[in-house]
Amino acid sequence: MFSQFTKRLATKNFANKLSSKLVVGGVATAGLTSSALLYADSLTANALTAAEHGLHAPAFDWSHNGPFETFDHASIRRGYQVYREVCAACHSLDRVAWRTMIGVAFTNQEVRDMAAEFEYDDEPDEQGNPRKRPGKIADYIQAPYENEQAARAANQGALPPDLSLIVKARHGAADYIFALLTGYPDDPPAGVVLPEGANYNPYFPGGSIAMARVLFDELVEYEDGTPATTSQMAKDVTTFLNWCAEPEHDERKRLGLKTITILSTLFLLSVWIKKFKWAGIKTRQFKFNPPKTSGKK
Amino acid sequence: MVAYVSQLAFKTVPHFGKISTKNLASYAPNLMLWGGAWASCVAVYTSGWPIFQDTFYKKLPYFGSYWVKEVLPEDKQY
Amino acid sequence: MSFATIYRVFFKRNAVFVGTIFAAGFVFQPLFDSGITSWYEAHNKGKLWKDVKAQLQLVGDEEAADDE
Repeated sequence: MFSQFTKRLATKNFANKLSSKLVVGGVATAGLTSSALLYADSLTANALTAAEHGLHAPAFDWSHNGPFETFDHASIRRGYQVYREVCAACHSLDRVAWRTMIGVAFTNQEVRDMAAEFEYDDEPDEQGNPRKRPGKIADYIQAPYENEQAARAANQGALPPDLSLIVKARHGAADYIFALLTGYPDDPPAGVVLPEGANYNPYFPGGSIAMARVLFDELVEYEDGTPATTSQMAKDVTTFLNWCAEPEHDERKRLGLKTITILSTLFLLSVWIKKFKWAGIKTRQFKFNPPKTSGKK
Repeated sequence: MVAYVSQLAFKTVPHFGKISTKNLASYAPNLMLWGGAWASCVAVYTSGWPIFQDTFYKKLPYFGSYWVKEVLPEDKQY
Repeated sequence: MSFATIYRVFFKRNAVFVGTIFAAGFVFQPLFDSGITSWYEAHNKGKLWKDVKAQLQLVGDEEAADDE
């Protein structure tokens, strides 16, 4: 397309060959210069460079990709187990209530038992002393730390983000979370200087992340016998976090299917009606039959 | 004597505005059909309304089961 | 049923015409919704919670827990 454009420029306006060569040479110089600048830019992790924004996560083949695909609820169930046994040591899930997991990945009784293992603040007794009570399904999932300061103090100043909406909150969504969890190299590349206690992850913007690699093979034991490899656990916990961020997902796609079916039917119908109504008008012919003249004058 | 009609005798049919018993009777079948049309219009727009579902639509012979949303005890969020 | 009959029965009287449209709409809503839902659930079979629940046999445990 571009060569056609230059050719047209050369033939129309710049009649002589020299100016056409100048245009092509200028374009080539600009392209090479920008490529060289971008490459040089990618070699450092300074502010406003490519490395600062992190490696772009590849697109993974999620079972809920596509307009008519629901979440894999068995994966959500395993993912909660990974969250509970691994992530929940540092990360909160403040916006998810226990009851919302019923009918999605757990039964009523299972969630009741899970919530009851936690202590929540109760109303004070008659002397005004604080009391505790076991959790109920109407409670929200309890955070590992009391507040942000406690979380920072326990993690060398870094705040583990709340995971309720993390899939929606990060560029690349589920792909990014999975790539981050499985993307820790054994050693940082040569020349990378990390702050103390930081770890290298190419997918994390800037490359220096406070969270170390946490998922290792056989870390959890799945009840359904699925082999707990690193990537299996990362996939399950990402599916679970994707459900946390988009609990309306399955119903949304069902309604989308209904809407698309109705609207496309109405659209095809309207096209047909338009053709039907206009057919007579578009194909009509006006004819003039001149009166026959007898002989010439 | 011969009884002549001296002039036209006008009588007023009992009426209410433009409505009289006679034209009301002739309109009745059509009005009843409009009543049916109106009822089905109301049914369309109230089919998502719980009190209408409970009172009417769940009791329909063939479609009734559509409005009965049964949540199994292990899936109840309360 | 010829077109003439269809015209005479459903289209000629405006009240019947409007009523037919609304009645058809009322019947169409549940039929369409059930149809779409059953296709959607068949398309995603095995991933839905009810399939997972059946596979893990959680309901049996549930009833046992209720009996206690």
